[in-house]
Amino acid sequence: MVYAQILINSILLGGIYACIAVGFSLVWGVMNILNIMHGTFLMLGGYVTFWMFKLYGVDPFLSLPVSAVTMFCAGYVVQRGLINKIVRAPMFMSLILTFGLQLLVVRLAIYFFTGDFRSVQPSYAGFSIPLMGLSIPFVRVSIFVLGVVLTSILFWFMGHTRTGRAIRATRMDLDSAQLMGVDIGRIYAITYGIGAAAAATSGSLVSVGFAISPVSDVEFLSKSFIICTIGGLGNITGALAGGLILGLAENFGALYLGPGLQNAIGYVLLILVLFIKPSGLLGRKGFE
Amino acid sequence: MTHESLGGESLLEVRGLAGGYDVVQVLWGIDLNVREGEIVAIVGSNGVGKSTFLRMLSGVLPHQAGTITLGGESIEGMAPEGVVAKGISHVPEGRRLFAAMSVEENLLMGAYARKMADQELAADLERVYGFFPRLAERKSQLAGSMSGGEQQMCAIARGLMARPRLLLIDELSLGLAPRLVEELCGFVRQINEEGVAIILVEQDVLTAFELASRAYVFETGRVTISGTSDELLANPQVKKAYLGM
Repeated sequence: MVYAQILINSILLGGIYACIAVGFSLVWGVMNILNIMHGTFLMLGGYVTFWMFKLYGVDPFLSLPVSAVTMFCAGYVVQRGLINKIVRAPMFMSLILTFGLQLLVVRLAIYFFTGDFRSVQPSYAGFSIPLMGLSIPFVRVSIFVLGVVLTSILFWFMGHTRTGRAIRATRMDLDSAQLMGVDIGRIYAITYGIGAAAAATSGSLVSVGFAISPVSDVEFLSKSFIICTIGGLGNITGALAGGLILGLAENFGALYLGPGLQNAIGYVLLILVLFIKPSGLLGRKGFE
Repeated sequence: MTHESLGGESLLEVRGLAGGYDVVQVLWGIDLNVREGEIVAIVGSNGVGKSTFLRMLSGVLPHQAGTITLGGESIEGMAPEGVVAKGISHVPEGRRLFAAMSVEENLLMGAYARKMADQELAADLERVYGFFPRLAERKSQLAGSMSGGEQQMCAIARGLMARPRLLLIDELSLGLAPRLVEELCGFVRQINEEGVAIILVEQDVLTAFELASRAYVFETGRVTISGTSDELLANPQVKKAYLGM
């Protein structure tokens, strides 16, 4: 029974992990940018939901679109105005630039929001659904379902729309995409905006079931990094697989090794995958 | 000789085009023109600037000097998306298909620069599948999994989806068996007969002269000889350097 409960918890955690990582994977895969800002957008999304709940009593699940749209716009502007200027430079440059922006935004967030941990506590926060002797936390299930739905929408968008196709084409062959008349600067900005929106949405979800502070961005960033490396870069199914694997490993690791080592397990997995299959479990060659 | 139209209206006018990559100047003042509905070949050995010239026409590579006009309108300094919209479509060397996309998705990418209704898009796909029935059979196959000849067909078809007035084809015959080259030449003629002008960059000089009505010989970034294909075939220099006669 304990195992079944842990399995359910793992899957629910894995779903939100996948949702956290998917935007990071997209940005890295398409533009070869290690986006240190990813956790920051996630944190800001969480705060959008937190403040809308705290100040105006808006249900956290209803503030998701606000969080996504504002961070899409912020991401679009950051890419168009700043990152596009150095996107042809070695990856190191984008690392430094996004790292600098991350420091700036996080310090501002500490100044304005204080460093306290915050969590959205709607009236239904404690509900759980009993099912065959197991207890299924309502909020976590909702987060999981929404995470899966939003990731599926992104998946569909990438596969079936003109812009989604252009993003994939740009990832596969930049020169060729340009010859087709793709405005690379615009596609990059849209991609980065989508990455930021995906981060912000998962941040909003995280702020309900978990807790956020301005500095929790680093924790989510490192999780995204681990998930993408395990699952394989540049594809959404890779992020899903990586998220589920990490969720399972963390929960069962905590059971056998003790909760103190829970966060170390991800890094052990990361190193193992890098040894055995550097392109990630579902990764394709060329996207390492 | 295909589609005689030596008296046609001028479509592309290039004057004194020069430039290159960073500090390496590749082109030293190219003059070239293409009339409506004409096939023009550019021949020359490796590294003389043929592909660089095409890249400058399509706006991927900026040029340092010279003018480019298409149908009397300057397309200078235009970004590639602008050039495609004006009617120049570029089939790059080595096909450069989106390997992990299906054939149909590749064709849809070809039409990216033209925003149009789904019906019109579907009609254009039908038209292109009409040219290349083999692509219609394989429309859901991944482009990277096809043979070299089929990939070249797909690359040309993708170029056609932009509805170009001028199609640039870089190395049509590269790495393909003679029988396939023959087949592809047939497609190129057919496309030309529909009124699309073509610039063909080709190392296989005989193929180039067979298709084109006129040709330019590039040597170290300059045009050294130009004329009708017949004139060039009879030119002793061309015979010696490119035909081994």
